[in-house]
Amino acid sequence: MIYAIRTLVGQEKNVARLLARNVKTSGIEVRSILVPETLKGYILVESDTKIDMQNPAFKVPHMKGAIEGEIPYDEIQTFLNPEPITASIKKG
Amino acid sequence: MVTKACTKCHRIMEEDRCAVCNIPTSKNWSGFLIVVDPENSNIAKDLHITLPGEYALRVR
Ligand SMILES: [Zn+2]
Repeated sequence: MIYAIRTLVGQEKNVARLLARNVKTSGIEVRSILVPETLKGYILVESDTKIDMQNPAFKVPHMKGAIEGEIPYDEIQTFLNPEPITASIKKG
Repeated sequence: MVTKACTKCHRIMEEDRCAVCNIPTSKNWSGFLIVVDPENSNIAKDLHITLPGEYALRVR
């Protein structure tokens, strides 16, 4: 499941790094944190369970709260393959 | 701090050369991914990432 969390614009990577550190020490089931170049002011959190923003691990500076609901996995797949189509054709 | 990414494995590092792939790293990268638990991450599986850590989505 993918959840979106709003952050201060420009702080996406810093928020992701702090959150990653927090979830590792607290044992929350966050699998990965995605920061697409084109998505300003958001980070995407991959988690098996619904994220609990009340958990102290989610108290990170410049984090502004979660977006309600899950994001379908196929919607984030475009972020995973950011290469232009022409580049992939050349590789083939 | 200048971070670079390996053009092959996309891992983010400060070194000029990736210790795993033994090729030069690049300053020209974008998109950012932190893999916490590669064994249970669909994103890590899709990107063939097996080690936890920081990765770039695109490296030139
Ligand atoms: Zn490498």
